[in-house]
Amino acid sequence: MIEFKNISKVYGNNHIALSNINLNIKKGEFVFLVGPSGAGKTTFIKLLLKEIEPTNGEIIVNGTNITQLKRKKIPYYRRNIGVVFQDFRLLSDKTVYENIAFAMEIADVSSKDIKRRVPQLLALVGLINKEKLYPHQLSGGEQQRVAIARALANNPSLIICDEPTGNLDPDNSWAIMELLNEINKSGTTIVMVTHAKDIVDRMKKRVIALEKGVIIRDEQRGVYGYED
Amino acid sequence: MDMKIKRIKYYFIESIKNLARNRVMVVASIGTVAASLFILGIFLILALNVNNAAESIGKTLEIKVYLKDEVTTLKRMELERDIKNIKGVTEVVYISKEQALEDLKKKLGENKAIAEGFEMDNPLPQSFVIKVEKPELISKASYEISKLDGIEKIYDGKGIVEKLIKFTNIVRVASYFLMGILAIISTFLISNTIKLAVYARRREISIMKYLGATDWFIKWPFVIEGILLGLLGSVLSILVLFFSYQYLTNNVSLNLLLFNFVSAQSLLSFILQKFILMGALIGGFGSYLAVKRYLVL
Repeated sequence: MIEFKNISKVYGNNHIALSNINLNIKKGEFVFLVGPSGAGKTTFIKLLLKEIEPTNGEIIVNGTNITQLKRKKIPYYRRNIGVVFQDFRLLSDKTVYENIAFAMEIADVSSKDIKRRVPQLLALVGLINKEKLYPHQLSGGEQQRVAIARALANNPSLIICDEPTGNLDPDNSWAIMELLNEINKSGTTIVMVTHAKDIVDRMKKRVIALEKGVIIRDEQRGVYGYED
Repeated sequence: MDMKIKRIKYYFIESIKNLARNRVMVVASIGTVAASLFILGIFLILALNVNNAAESIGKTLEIKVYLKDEVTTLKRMELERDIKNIKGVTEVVYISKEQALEDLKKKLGENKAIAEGFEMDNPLPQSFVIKVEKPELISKASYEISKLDGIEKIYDGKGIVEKLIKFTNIVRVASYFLMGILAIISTFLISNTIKLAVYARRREISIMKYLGATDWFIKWPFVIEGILLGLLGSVLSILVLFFSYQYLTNNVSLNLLLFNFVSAQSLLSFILQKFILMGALIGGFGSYLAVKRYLVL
């Protein structure tokens, strides 16, 4: 599903963000990416989303070498990846329904299919009666559910979560994790960057720990391993 | 098809939202587009009327040839024949001294007493009124006539048309220059308006990129915004030009002039499409520059 081959990323000021990373994430896996800030987690995600280019190496996603992907193809590549952020990143002038539908409109999905799919997604994330509300009328947990529904809208094979519970209280965090777990069970690969020790420790999923641009640990059913 | 229409509707709604967000810059952009086209419009009004005048003057243009008093009837008939043979001359009318006096009295009307004494010793010369095929042939024909004997003086009026054309040319260069500067300013202002719109929407743009929006999906609303600014400016200039010109033509006495004004309606039909097209081009170019420079995708 995802393969990093000898990936290095050196920024302009000679800061080495990632150094010779090799890893393989299989389809349907749930992977936590942990490590102190500045370890290279953000660079890892940016590379996956093709926001930045590696200095060295190749990244293969779903059998495609994305390091060779032409600029024009990037939007089509991204439609196959759902992204969930710590700060939700919903469009404030669109309702819950419109936020989810918008992701599909961008991807040229027909109105008919949008009308069929959005209610299904709302049901999945448990927001059926909130479709007409605007993001500011929702709690943080609800906003993150909308973001997850939007990430799922185009049936991606991979979902990248960048500290999805960072702005949520423990109850809402767990609800979001349960939702992500459900989604993972239905076959979607999930890569999640997090600092939430208790979540990592309790979920017992694969944990990849980065430090100073190097993988220092890669364990199946791993733990967070830091004290913060 | 349904998708296409929906998409276009989305682009327009987004661009109108952008316009509503940034009113000061929107007014400034529309204003400069309107001002630059307004100046072009003033030149066009002038040019249209000068052309019109030159044409109507050209049509009535004639050469007046005054003969020396000593020219005899025989000599005069010889001259008439020679003039008729000059290329381009279509008509030669002889006006005798007596006829000239009659014409003068007619012109003077109530004041004809001024010419009372003239009958005893008529000071007016005998003359020919000559018509030529085209205004361009006048100077050649009058040169040929000047070579003949017995000619006192020639009035050919050719200077009028030439002066008019020269004047129009000066005005044209000046207004192109002014319009060019204003068009550059409008392009710059539109581009700046779009820049602010891009800046205001940078968060949405980044989200759209994550959702897999193509570059043009993101660009179109901004490009359309610029084109709308240009179009609104051109419509404003058309309205101002049309109504102020209509007011002018209705209120300036035509009797003072040798020719008629071009009508406001024909001005409108002359500028309508051209101005709308130019407004759209200025706007499109301004937004193209902004999108190219400030929309980092």
